[in-house]
Amino acid sequence: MSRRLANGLLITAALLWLGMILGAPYARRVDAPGAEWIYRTFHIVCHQKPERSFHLQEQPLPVCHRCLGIYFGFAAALIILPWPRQLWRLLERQPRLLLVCAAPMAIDVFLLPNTYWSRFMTGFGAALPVAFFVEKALQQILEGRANAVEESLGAKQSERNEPA
Amino acid sequence: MSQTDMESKLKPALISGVGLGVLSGFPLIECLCCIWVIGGGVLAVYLYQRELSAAIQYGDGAILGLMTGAIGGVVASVISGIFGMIFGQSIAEFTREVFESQGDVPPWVEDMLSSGASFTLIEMLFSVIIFAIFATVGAVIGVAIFQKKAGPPPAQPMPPGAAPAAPPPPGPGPEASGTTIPTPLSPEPEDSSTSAPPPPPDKDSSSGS
Repeated sequence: MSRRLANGLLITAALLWLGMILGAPYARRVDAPGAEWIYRTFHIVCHQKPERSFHLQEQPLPVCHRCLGIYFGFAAALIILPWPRQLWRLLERQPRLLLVCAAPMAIDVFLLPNTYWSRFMTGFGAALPVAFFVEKALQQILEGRANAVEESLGAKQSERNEPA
Repeated sequence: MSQTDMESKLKPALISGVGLGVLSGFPLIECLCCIWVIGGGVLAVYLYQRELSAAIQYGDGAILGLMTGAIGGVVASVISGIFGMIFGQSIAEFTREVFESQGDVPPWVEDMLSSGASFTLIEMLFSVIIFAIFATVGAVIGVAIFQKKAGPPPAQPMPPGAAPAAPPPPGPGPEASGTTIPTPLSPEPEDSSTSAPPPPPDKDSSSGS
């Protein structure tokens, strides 16, 4: 139950996040009020160099190729999460495999003369396993909350029963 | 989550939060995008796990990252605000030159430079939210990297010194599993006759046999 809830919450958040990114150029083009704020907000975590960003409506996206790949990878992993069970089990046993997935991105950043596709794809690959762990974290938090609520309800119940 | 649990998380969250805030707030070092924020989350988990005997859980890591990011966001905003106030004019000129040398100045940069103030409460709020999200992800990554291998018994998510610091113990009775941290501890029955092998509670309770 909490797993599905965690998955649903994260998918919603990831799609909203992507929607903000892909909608920003349109918003800017029509001079929508919040458009510049979207760009400013994403500037906190991305350099936003136009030559390193995809363009929509002749406007650069508010994040670079690599960041977009990361966000797409994260959302894609959340959507396919229920299926490749064996892969996730392997990841659960060997969590440091996420470093292996991040290695191509590190190589692309530091060693290779990268292209926009290499930036996008290595970001995509790096984010895939991260989604699994984030979902697990949220699931544990939700389970913790549910347990706490159950405990307090149980305590109240026993308090009520005691005087009787 | 108990208060002691929060307190034990506060120290690593403060250290790494201030660290990531300083690194993200300085104008010239901030160029490495979100790496400082994610790194801050990873560092917080590393520091927390180092002091924890049990394996840290992903949920705990996420909360730790959330705290780290929130602290880092405030620190980064304050530092960039101070920089803006002291070196505002020269930074603005420098920024404009940099953007002009690259082609054109983006409208939001133009807005910011013309308004002069680079530190507003709304920006601080956005920073805190974004930093909290990214540091949470960083902390979850940190758990995956630094989590101690759980031994044969299932790992209990107990912070260092959580059991003795539970508020209600009434007096002399050494009841280990109080009412405050029920979920992780409750399945373990207190069996004084067989408590010799596991180390935690008291060593000499079974010394007679």
